[in-house]
Amino acid sequence: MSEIKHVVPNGNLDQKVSYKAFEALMTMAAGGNRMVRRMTTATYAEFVSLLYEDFDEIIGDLEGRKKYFTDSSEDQITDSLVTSLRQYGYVASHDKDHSGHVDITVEVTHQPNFIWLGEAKLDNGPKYCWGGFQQLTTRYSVARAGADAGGILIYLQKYKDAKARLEQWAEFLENVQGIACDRADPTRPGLAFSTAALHDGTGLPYKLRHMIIYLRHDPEK
Amino acid sequence: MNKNEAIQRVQAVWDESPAASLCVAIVDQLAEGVLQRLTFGQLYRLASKNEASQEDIARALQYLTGHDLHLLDTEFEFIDENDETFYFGMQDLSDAQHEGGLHHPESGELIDNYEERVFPTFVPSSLAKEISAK
Repeated sequence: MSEIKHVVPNGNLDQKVSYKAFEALMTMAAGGNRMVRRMTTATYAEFVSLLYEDFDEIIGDLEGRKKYFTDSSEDQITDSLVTSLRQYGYVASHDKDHSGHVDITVEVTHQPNFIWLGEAKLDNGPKYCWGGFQQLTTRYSVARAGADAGGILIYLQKYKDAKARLEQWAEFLENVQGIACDRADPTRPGLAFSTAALHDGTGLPYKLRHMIIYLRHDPEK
Repeated sequence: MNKNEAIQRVQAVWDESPAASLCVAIVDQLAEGVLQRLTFGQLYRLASKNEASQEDIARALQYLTGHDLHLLDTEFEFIDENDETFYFGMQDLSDAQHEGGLHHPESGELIDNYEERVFPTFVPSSLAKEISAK
């Protein structure tokens, strides 16, 4: 902290701001410490990995303000997520036409081939979420290089125990749909997992990260 | 894109916040074609006029150099021992971080303590030039 204070520019109009001071300044904006990476990602894997770091931070912020979202509609919550992604600098859209209206589209201008799609669902049970999964994997996505990753976002408002609710969804995918789930999510353990089912259209794996967002607000005191 | 469309996009993302006011002030200057190279000195003056804090400056810079409304390209100024000025791009600094050093563009020598010797400035992007031409 003391080092950051030392290097943050002091606002003096004639002060020259070094790269080091600039980096310290940028940490004051949400996502600002990853700004250079966001503008220079060279591979799709780096783009997706960075996007998930950004999602984790944005979701954390949303969960921290859950009292404002506990009665919100699916669209209102998605709008908030998309606005945050745009504030971080992404080209992000809600309901963009992509062979139908996909909930979340994320793109970057320096790599126009890269795209990430997401479907958002209120937690009304696995069968309801399955509709989003099918839309994403059979209607919107193509699973080609630069476009073979996406996400399912589940907004939990009615129930407690987000980990157990997400596990129900994972078990539905495994036991009813025969889709293997990788539960070893490094940065949202218990609250995110991954699948890589073969895409019907291209026959290639379509890598989905399933993220549950805890928005129930029911304080006991 | 024209100036009004750029301002609408800023306001859709930042509403009526101080960060929005600062972004709009920069859009205004870009549209007038008076902004050739934005330095931190100029940025602090604009921030002061718009009651924008250091946090707001960081937010505005992240947004206007980002993908959604890419109006500013970042160029890092370096003045060598012979008082010659060079500019590095974002990719050069990213490479320097990965490779552990930044090299002089002509001599190829490692620049000692480069993080303290290069200074970010911001120049109009091709989108900004399109706006100023309308």
